[in-house]
Amino acid sequence: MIRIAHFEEYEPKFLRALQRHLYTSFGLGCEQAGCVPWPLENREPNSPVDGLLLLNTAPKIDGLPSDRTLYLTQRKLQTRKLLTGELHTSGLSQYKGMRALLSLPPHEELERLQKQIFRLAIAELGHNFGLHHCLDPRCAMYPPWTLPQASTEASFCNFCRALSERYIRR
Amino acid sequence: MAPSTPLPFSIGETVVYPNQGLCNVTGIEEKEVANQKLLFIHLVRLNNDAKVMVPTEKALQIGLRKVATHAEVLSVLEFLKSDSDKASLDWKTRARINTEHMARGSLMGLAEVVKALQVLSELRPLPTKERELYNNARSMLVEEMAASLQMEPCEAEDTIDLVLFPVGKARPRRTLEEFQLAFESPMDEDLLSLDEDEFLEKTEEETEEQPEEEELEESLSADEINALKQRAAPQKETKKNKTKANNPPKTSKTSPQKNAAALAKKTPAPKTKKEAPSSASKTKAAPKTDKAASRTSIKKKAL
Repeated sequence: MIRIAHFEEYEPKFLRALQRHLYTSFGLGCEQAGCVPWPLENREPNSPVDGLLLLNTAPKIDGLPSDRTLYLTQRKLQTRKLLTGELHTSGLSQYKGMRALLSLPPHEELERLQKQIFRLAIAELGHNFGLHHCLDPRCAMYPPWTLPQASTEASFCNFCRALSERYIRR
Repeated sequence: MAPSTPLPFSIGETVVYPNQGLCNVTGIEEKEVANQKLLFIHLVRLNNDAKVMVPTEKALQIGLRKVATHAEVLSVLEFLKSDSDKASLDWKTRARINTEHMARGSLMGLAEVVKALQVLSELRPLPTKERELYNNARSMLVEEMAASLQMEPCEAEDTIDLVLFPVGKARPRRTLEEFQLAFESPMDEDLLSLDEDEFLEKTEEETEEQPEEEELEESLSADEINALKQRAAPQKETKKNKTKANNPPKTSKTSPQKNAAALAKKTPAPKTKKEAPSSASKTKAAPKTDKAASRTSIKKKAL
């Protein structure tokens, strides 16, 4: 089961669309867990937050031990400084873990960027299930920072779909 | 029982098992196997909690090793940045090299597999088996890098992918020339596009095309066949005489010559490829036109 929790209020229409899309992509039940309290001390809406810290301190959602939770926030996530360079972060997930985090654009742009948001949500939850980045630019698991994603579909390639099914049923 | 040589691993340490991934050393125990007392290292795979027991004497032999150091990880990242590594275009060679790297299990070996297949995928899509191999190698590389640098696996993967997939750029498209420069003999274009499965299918198709005479007989009527046989009879005799003169009579049924001839019949595909190194469509079309021409000429003669 996938559960969607959010730190701010969102339009029910958007949440339902995301729920439906995740259900069709993973073949798993998807439920809305509602709004959850902000866990960090940093409450300023415009300051970027540490994604990993937020991911690890987010409140636990009741459910089965195998449930994955996707947390949504409208706060920007801090740019990560990695060994090979800096990386703008719009989503994070615990690899083979239970939690994924997605930073969303402002409310006005949610509808316009819906496809890209869904794609990112699939990618982050895919990491949760054990998928790595994919070589196919049309796949949702393709690294999100490489090319404009407007032209690409928010779905898995055949290889990643088969792999995700295998990992989910395992 | 104390081990004859000091063990390189301590209990609680994370080690790398080639082709399996990261394991935790949970204990060292003495067991009797085939009337021999052996010391075993107990390992638990971090991926799926599978338990593995390895004799201490064979631990190093099978490639069990400690997690790579920071310096080794940096050298691997440098290697991934470079643009020098090109995979072999021959799938057999490629499979052999990649399997060797995976069995050896070194961090650089894993990086070589990932880099080679990544670059190859910029020329053409990888077949399923190689996608799986790429995925396994990448998974082990990410896990070990995360353990070595003590970071989250998602961060380790992004560290690698920042090099493999540069920010804001579409992936480069490779050309055949780039790959061919790495090898002495450029390969036939037909073979470049072939995967293992396609190659096998193709050879099967070509072997199916062989029985031309049978097909021809089916397409002709009985009268036409009789007329053809009568005309062909003297020619066959002369042919038989010629072959007898060239090849001495065989002494036994299981002679090596017969086996060689049978083998040659069974594997006709490479010969046709060497003789006519043109595109696949041309090689397939040629025998059909020959067949059609021979059929019409034979029919005309018979009439």
